[in-house]
Order: sequence, then C-alpha cells, then structure tokens
Amino acid sequence: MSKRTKAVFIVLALIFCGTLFFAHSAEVDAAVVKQGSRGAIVTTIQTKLKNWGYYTGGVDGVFGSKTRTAVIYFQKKNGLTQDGIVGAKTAAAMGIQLSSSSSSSSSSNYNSDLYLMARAVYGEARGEPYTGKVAVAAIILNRVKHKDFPSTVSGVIYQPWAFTAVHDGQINLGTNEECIKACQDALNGWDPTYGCIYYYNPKTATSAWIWSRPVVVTIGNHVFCK
Amino acid sequence: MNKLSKVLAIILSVVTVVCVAVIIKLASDNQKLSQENGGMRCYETELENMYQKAYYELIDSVKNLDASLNKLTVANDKVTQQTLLSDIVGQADTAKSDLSSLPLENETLVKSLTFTNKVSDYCKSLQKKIISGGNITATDRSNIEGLAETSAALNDALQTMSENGDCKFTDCLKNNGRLEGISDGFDELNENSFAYPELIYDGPFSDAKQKDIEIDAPAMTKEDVLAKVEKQLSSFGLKNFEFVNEADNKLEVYGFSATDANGRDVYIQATKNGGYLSMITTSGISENAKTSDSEEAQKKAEEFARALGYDVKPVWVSKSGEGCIYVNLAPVVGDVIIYPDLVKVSLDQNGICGFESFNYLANHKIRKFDKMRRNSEEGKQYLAEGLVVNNVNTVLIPKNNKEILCFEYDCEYNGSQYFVFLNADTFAEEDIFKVIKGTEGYTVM
Repeated sequence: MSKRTKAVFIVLALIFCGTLFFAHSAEVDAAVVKQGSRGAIVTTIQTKLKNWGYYTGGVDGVFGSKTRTAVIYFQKKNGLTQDGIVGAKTAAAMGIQLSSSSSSSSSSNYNSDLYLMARAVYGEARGEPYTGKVAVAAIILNRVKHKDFPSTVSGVIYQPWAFTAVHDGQINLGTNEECIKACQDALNGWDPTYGCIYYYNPKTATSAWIWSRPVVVTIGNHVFCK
Repeated sequence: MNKLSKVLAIILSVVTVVCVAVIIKLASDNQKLSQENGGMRCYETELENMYQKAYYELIDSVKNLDASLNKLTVANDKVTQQTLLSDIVGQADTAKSDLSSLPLENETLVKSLTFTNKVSDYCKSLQKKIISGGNITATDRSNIEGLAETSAALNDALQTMSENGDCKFTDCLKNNGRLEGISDGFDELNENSFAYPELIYDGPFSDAKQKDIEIDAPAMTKEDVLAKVEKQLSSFGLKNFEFVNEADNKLEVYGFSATDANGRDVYIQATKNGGYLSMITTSGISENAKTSDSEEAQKKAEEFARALGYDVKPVWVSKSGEGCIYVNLAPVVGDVIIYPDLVKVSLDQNGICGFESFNYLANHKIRKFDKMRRNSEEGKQYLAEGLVVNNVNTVLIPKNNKEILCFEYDCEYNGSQYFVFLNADTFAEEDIFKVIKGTEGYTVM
C-alpha cells in the first residue's frame, strides 16, 4: 500500500467513524426519523415493521442499518420513495404521527380510525380505481351508522365474516397514501354509493344471498348494493 | 474371530449407529412437531376462550336486559326509570359488542344485533326525554313492553342453547360460520320473535321514514348531463369526458370519467334531474404534499362552487396529512349560516381535487328567518363559567332530522377551542364541538 493510498484510507476511516458518531448522537427531530435516530418513535416504527413482517431485528429504539433496510422494503411495497427515511409520507403510510409537538388531546381517536380504515381499504380494494377505494371506506362508515351493524369503526371492520381482507389477514399488509386519502375523503362525507352497506366482486362472490341485494352502482370490479 | 464374524460385527455396528441416529432424529422431530402443535393449540385455546367469554357475557347481558326492561314497564318514579334506562343502555351495548364478535354467520344473529342496537338507541332517547323534563307516556310504555317480550324470546333461546352442551366456536371458522347447536338455536328464533312495535323517536335508528331526496328539476338524458358537466368543468382544465356508470340510491346520478391537467383520473357524478354536480374524486397523491395556504384555498373553493351554481361561502377549513385542504362552504341567508346545506371542496397542490354536495342537494330550500327575539350577547350568560368567547355567529344546525336556529360561540377553555351552540330562542345547549388539532390541521368532534 503506497503512502498516498494509506492516507486516503485513513481519511476515509475517519469520515466513516465521524459519520457513525454524528449519526448516533443525532437527536430525533420532529420532521424525519432516519438512521441514527433513537427513541420511542423508533421503537414504534420497529414494532410496526416487525408485526408486518418487514423487519427481523430487535426492537431496541435505535435506528440502525437493519431498520433502514426494513423501511426501504416497506417503502418499496407501498409505492413510496425508497430513501430509508421515515418522513411525513412514510409515517402516514405506517399510521404514526411524527410531530412531537402535537397536542395530547384525543386526536388519536380520529387518526387511529383513519389508519385502521386505510388498512382495511388497502386489503380490500388496493387494485381498484380511486373512487372504488372511497366507496369501500364509505361502506364502513355507512355500516357504523346502520342499525344492523356494530356502532364503531373497529367493530364494523373486525365483525367476523364481514370483510375478506380481515378474514384472510390482508388487513395486516399495511396501507398506502392513496388509501389514506380515500378514507379521509369518506370521513369528510364523500360517498359515491349514497348510503350503500354491501359490496361484492361478482367474479369471486360465493354467497347466493349477496346476489339478491338491489344493485346501486358498479365501480371497478366491485358491485355496491343496498 | 474369523473374517465373516468381523464383517458381521462391522455391519452390526454401522446398523446400530444408523438406528440410534434415526431414533435421535425422529425423537427431536417429534419434539419439534409437538412443540409446534402445542403452539397452535395454545393459539386456538386462547381464541376459543375469547369467543366463550363473549358468548357467556352475551347470555348474561341479555338475561339482565330482559329483567331491566320488565322492571321498566312497572317503574313509575323518574329516578328508578333513569337508573333502569342507563342499565339497559349498558346491557344492550355489551350484548351488541358480544354479538358482533362471535364468529357465527347467521341472519338471525343480524336481527339480534339490530334489536340490541334499537333498544340502546331508543332507551337513550327516553333518557334525554326524562332529563329534559318529559314523562314516559302510555305509547312509550307499550313500546317497552314490546321490547321486553322480544328480549324474553332472545333470552329463552340463549339459555336453551347454553344448556344444550359444549360448543366449540373455533369450529365455526372451518365450517363457514355454522356451528351445530348455536346456529340452529338462532335459526329457531324466527321472524315473530323479533316483532316489536315500530319505534318512532329522536335517534339514528328510529323507524321514522327517511325522506326521499327529490331534485326539483326536469330529468335529463346522460348525454345532456355529460354536455352540462363538460361545459362547467373544462374551464378548470378537465378533459376527455366519458360516461361510466349510474347510481340509483338516495340520490340518482350519472357517473363520468375525465382527466385533469396533470393527467390524473377524475370521477364525476351529477344528478339525473337537473344535472347538478354532486361529487368529484381525483386519484393519486399530490407530489409536493404541502398545500398552499388556506386563504388561497378558500378563495379557489368558493370560485369553484359558484361556477357550478352553488351560492355558498367558506365556513370551515381543515387540512389532512395527505396534502389536502378541505373547505366546507354553506349558504348564508342574511347573517345566518345554513349548516344543513354544506358543500365541500378539497384542494391540493394542483388545485381542486374533490367536490361533494349531497347535503346541499338533499336539504337546500329557500329559507326566511323572522326577526330574532333574543340576541347572542344575552346568551353569553348561559355559557359555562371560564369560557372565553372569541367570536359569535348565528347559524342553522341539523339535529335529529330537524333544523334549529342557534348562536354559535367560538370559545376557548384551558387552551382548547370549542364551539358551543345555544338555541337562539331558549338558550338551551343544543350541541358542543371540540376542535381537535391533528398533525396538519384541525377537525371537530
């Protein structure tokens, strides 16, 4: 090894160590969570990624290379920019809030319903047109308000046999921004079905009963009915 | 030892070693398998236990519900009536939650759920009635008797099912939601068991007929509606309009597809009568998710709604984490904001991305208001102590299928924002909204 190569090597090594040092001492800022971040938010990210099968490492609250790889894998699967950094969009897709300054009031109720719905919509209708996603989200909300169904979003979504994606576990695949936006629209009152409570895919539906329901509208592969 | 014995000894040793190895391997596999089975059994047992808990809790709460409803038929004192009503609401809610978590698929189960929903809803309305100084009338009493009879039938059926022996709910999952004994038990609860009087009261599950939405305008062909929609929306950069579908429900509409200036898919609905635009959705997410400021958004939203023929002004703005701004707009008559006739517009970086006018189409009519008997200043004394009033509006709000004229007080208390609605005539508190700060905006609950 020539002197010059050695010098370059030493400089590189110093830069590497420096990077490591700074990365480890980095504070978790409110805007993004990335390699080197630490704290409860990292624990939450690791737990979520682990539950969804993206992450195999330990849940230790330290954002290391394994967590970064898992974040990239999650971003790839959810159509997000694959930078390994948890910013607003990736956080939203994971169903977590980054801002540490958000008020401690019960805003979590609203958001947890939104993300639970977004996971159900992703499982049920990720291949459907955008309006089809809004319609599925609207069905969930129409059921909450209907006398024949449970009166909460979680009650409706987890009612046994109600949604295929819940029955076969697809609800645990996560979600993406478009599904979150569709649910946000539905929560704000958008309902392309004007009050439907059922829908089915005519190519796969097996229940004879569902075919007898009066059809209101067909959006993408789904038939929505009363 | 001769050669043969040596060879035999070697073969025997090899066979022995192989046998021992095989036995060890089998034993270890077996242990692994039994551990796995043990794990599976453990999950199944835990799941079964949760179902059993829900089932026995259901039986218990229906038994108590039956008793409480019967007691209510003979209770004459308001305190007793109130106590029983709150017990009933709690028991019905527990039964409802248990019914919806059992893995059974059965039409009668749905009827049981409907029954518990209605009991809880109806009794809540009776509670409100008593609190506001009303009495349980003869009609109410006869309704309660009807509900008590139904609960007795449900109770009997559940008691019989539980006496018929042990049922394993996890078997349901392998049998398309059918479970011998329990499913048959629900099957036996026939249509008649759920025949109770029609319940008309102030509540979401009331049997009061929902009014049909009739648009007072001539019916149009889909071609004419398409032409109208195209004319209105092409100035906002939309093109490639095509008819896609129609929906006939509370509102009868035609659906059209289009693309916006950024090439995103747009879906549009407009009423068959009159061709009024009722909904727009735009697919895809805005790349630079940070939306423009909300004043600009309100201006754009108002221009858009007015271009579509809706005479409305912005009344509320909220932002979502997905880069959307939602602007709610309402007509303003004199200085009264008409909340029942809301129109909603959503915008992102690229401009308008959504529109919704169901409430406007369903409720809008020409309204006139008499001169107010009382004023909002006078109403302030009816607000809770400590509330700091920042703004007051006169508003019309929808409540239990009625419209109530109110003073809307925009207040602050302990660092949080509230909207308190006082009846403009009686100063009774009609509603309270709390403003929830989200990640990127506000919403009300």
